[in-house]
Amino acid sequence: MMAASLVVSVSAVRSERVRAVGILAATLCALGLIYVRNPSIGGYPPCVFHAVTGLYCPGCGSLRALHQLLHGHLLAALDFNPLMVLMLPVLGYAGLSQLSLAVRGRALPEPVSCARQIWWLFGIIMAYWVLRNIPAYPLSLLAP
Amino acid sequence: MTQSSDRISCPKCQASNFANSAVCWQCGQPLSGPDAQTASNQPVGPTPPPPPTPSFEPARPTYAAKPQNYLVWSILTTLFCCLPAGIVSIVYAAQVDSRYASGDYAAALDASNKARTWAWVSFGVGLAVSLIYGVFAFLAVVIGNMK
Repeated sequence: MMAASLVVSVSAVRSERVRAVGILAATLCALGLIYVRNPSIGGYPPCVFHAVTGLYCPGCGSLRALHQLLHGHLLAALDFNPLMVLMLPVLGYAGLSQLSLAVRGRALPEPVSCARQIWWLFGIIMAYWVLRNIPAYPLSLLAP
Repeated sequence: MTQSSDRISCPKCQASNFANSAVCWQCGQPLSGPDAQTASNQPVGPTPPPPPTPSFEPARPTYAAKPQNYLVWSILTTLFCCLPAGIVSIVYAAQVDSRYASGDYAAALDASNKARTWAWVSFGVGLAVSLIYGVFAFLAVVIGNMK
C-alpha cells in the first residue's frame, strides 16, 4: 500500500526531474544568499507575524540559524531556532527523496506515514510557538 | 502452466507482473495485454487461483494510493515563511492520513488539496511580503541618494 503510493509513472518522472532541478536551484540560491549575507545584520524581509504582534512565530530566527549553521556554528544556530535545526534532517531526507524520485523514478520510503505522528508534530510546533514567547530563563533559550 | 506464463512484462517499463494484475506494480500502466486475453479465453477448467505471493515481491493492492499530504511543504513554509498558514497545512496533512486510514478516500483527497492550498498561501504571502519589502528598500535607497 505504501510502496504503491511512492511509485510514479514513467511519464511523470520527466516532470519530476524539472521539478527537482527547480527546487535544487532555488534552494542553492537561497542558501548561497543566506551564507553571504548575515540576516542578523538586516536587509531581509521581516516576519509578518512578528511585525504585527511583536511575538515570535515558530519560524522566527530560522534564517539567522541557517546562516550560523552554514558557517559551521551549530550552537549559535540552536540558539536562534532549535526546532528548525532539529527539523533539518527531516527536510534533508525529503529533499533526497525528491532527488531519488527524479533520478530513479522512485521516492525513498516515507518516514512519517500515520496521522498520529503528524498530530504530534503539530502539537510540538504549537507548544514551541507558545513557549518561546515566555520570557523566563529555560524557555527563553527557545527564543531567537 | 509454467511459472513464466503466470507473469507478464509491463509494455511500458518491462517490469515483471503477475498475469492477473490490473496495473503494473512499478509504473501504474494498465495491464490488458495479449497474455491476459489468451488466459481469459481458455475454455476449460475452473479459473486458476492467484499464484502464491513470493516473499520477495509482495502483491500490490490495486486500490487508490494515499493522496499526497504535502507535509514537507507545510513544515518548510511554517519554518521559513513566518506565517501561521503553514500550520493550517500541517493540520490538513494529518487529516489526509487519518481519513485515508479510515477508508474515506474522497475526504482524504479533499484534505490533500487543502493542505496544498494552505502551503501555497503561506509561501505566496511570504513571497509577496518579501517583494513589497524589496521594493520599499529599493525606493528608500533611491530617495536617499536623491537627497
